Amino acid sequence: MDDVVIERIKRIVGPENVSTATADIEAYKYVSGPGSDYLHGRPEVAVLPRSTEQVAEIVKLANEANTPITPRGGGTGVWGNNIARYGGIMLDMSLMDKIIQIDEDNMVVVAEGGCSVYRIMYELDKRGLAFPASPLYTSAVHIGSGVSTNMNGCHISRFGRLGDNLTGLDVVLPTGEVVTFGSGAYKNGYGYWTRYVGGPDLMGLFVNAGGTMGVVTKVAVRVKPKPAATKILAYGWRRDQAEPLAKALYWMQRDYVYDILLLNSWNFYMAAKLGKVELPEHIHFVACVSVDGDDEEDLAHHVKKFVQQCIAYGGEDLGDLGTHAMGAPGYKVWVSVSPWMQRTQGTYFYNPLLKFPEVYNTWEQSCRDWGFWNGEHIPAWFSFHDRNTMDPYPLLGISYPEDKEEMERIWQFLQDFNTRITKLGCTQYLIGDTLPPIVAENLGSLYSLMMRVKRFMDPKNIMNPTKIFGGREE
Amino acid sequence: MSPARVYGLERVKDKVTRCIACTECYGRGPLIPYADSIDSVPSWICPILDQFKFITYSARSQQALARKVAYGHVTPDESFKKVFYSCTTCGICDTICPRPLLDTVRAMREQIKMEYPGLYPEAMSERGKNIKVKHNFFGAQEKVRNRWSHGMELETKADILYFAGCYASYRQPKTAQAVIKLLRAAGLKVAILGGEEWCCGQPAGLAGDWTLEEEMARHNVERIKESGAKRVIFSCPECYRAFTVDYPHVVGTLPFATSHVVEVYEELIRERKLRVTREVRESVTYHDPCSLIRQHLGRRRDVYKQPRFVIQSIPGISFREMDLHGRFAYCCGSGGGVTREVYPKEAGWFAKVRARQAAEKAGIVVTACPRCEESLAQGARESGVSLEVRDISRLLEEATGP
Repeated sequence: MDDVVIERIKRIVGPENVSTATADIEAYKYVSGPGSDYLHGRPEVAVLPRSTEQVAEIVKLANEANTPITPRGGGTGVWGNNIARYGGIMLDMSLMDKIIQIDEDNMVVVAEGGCSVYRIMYELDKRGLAFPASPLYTSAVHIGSGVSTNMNGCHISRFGRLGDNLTGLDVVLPTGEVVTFGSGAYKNGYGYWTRYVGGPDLMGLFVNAGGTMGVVTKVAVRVKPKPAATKILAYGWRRDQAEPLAKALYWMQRDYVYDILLLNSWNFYMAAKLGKVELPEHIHFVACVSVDGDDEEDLAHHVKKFVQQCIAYGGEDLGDLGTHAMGAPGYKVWVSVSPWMQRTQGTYFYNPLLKFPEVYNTWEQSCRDWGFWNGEHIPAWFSFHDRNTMDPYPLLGISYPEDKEEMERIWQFLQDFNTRITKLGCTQYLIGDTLPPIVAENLGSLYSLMMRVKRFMDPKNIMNPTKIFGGREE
Repeated sequence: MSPARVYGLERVKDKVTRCIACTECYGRGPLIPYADSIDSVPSWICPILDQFKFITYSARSQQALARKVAYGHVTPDESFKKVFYSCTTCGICDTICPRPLLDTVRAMREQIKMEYPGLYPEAMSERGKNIKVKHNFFGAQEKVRNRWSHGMELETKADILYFAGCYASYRQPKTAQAVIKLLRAAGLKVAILGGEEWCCGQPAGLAGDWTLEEEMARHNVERIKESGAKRVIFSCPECYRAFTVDYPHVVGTLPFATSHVVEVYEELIRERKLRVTREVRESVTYHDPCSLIRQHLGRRRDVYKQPRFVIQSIPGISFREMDLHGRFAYCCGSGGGVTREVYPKEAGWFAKVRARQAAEKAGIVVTACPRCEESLAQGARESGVSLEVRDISRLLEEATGP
């Protein structure tokens, strides 16, 4: 990148917020999953903007210089959303971290795009409120990147994913223009209280878009009342009970059970070996469920119904095992799993809930075909449930990320598995050059429309060109 | 006996590939997002990440950078030096992550010392010479090391030995004198090594010059053995940590017990051997020295309840915690005598932040570390806050005086 461009960036955000130092560049090559082990990309400059205006200026400059720009959130993504595959500017949004407003009258929280979702959750919790889609990751997760990935997490069974709860966005478009979406767009209006305004709903252009359509600098989200009473339960099923399990999960959804986190026994493999948890040998699936009630009596009613459903479909009570998995999102979860967890690489996708048995069979068969169905690779299944949709994140443990041959095999395996489930009819979480071509091909005219919209909005294809739209010309 | 220590990145070569990249170490929010959880700490943060902002300064990136160097993917330059030497090694990352993150920083510094001497900080070379030749951190004359004890008629052999360390010996003699007075007031017979006490070597070891710390370890342990002491007491947490965590790798299991003075004070007050009778009408907060709370002492050895017990046993004290305290305490910036030497301006930034945090809560910040005391005093001066910094032994001395 031209030194003149870097100097101009320094003038926009201040020299202390711009770096081309080797260590910084190396650090920004790295993302959560081993995506950075497969996918190579090296930003030329790392930048920390502090305002929407600064982001807009940088994006305009990137257009002028025809330089790719990669917005970066918490870096928890595993599919390389935030890898600068074509160099250019790495835009770390971490300093745009303010909670702008908790509007209790309208039950909406408004925050800058780089604000930690955990911080928002904490502040809401103090006020007796709850975030609709609470991630099970860490405090590093940004609300803006949550929009770009349509974040899931606890509570989505009842309230849907983050994208379903948005009431407003401020976005810097790939041309540098700043646009407010939702009711916040009205001059002298009531603020960010509703998503829908006159005309088509354009907010979805930025949901699940992997930072390709713009930089999300402000987010408004509907919030919920904090449940008065909560209980976490865990029930187990054998491997040959995938069908009754799917039916049990279906009925849990119909009864508005709050959260479901489905795990297979591989998740507990190392913890059990280390004596940290006890899982009966015949149990293969573990459904951890958080049940809510308006009061203790209401809670007891829901718990009773849940237990009846589990028993009716052959589930076994696993006591307090669920608290290990979803008791306290974040710290306690990671502390309890980290000693035995390794680096992982998985894939996100969606499948209809009742198709779970065949999808899971495909996961197991793929792992077996590639020799990964074993304790060395820990082929764990991890899925949230968004009403009729299962959001799985099956993954493999990676013991030796420096073993290039092994890493290449895992990469090839995931391509194969993604091809198989796409053929089954599952939909992918994101698309782009990290996934097999069939994923985009299967979208047919929809993908073609996406391409046209992208060209219209980002004529120079500078905005995270690696995602969705297959890179850019060298 | 603890296993012999392997030098440099070879020691952590496997471990640095084990970061699960959960990203918690650079999250800018609470560990647990619920206000009623005991683990909810709304604004904890790694100090270097707080100052420099780029994720490069997070523990995860340190692991990633160390991995790249360990496996030959990159050759470190000055920017790596800044990442690894501006780190105060406060260990807050180790508090939230079960991986031995801190050891990676030490291993990387050792690697720099061995393989990339051009990057080894000049300031630490100078301090290393002081330690090697004059056996103290400051390069002061050895013969004046025990000047603080003149007139106190201390023993050279006793069951209990007080290891004053370089700071109390040369810069804060009143702290060393207060320790002796308190221990004696409780009826304990205390010996010192006098001129035979050498620097613990921790600043050298922490900077990457592990062989120098080994040399100091062998000497100090041998002299203490000769004194016949069964328990060695420290007022400097760095010395305490060096003996407790590092020395067993050099000399095997120590033939004596080790304690920080606040642990001893707590025992003596509980056993009513030390009478805390004089009122001290002050508003006080406490700064946890990193080496007492999260430096691989072992969870059961972390020393954060004892100083609070000691302070709160003083009549008249109004005690208030800082928001970031205990295992989430913000570092004073000293960095075990490394950061403050290598990057004094940046270290001063941490000190100012911490001094402001303390001044929000009280008029006096008490600590149990001479380096923290010095850093915080500088931080208070430079940030212009009204804050007095006091060592815990001197505060206790005031409360137990005749």
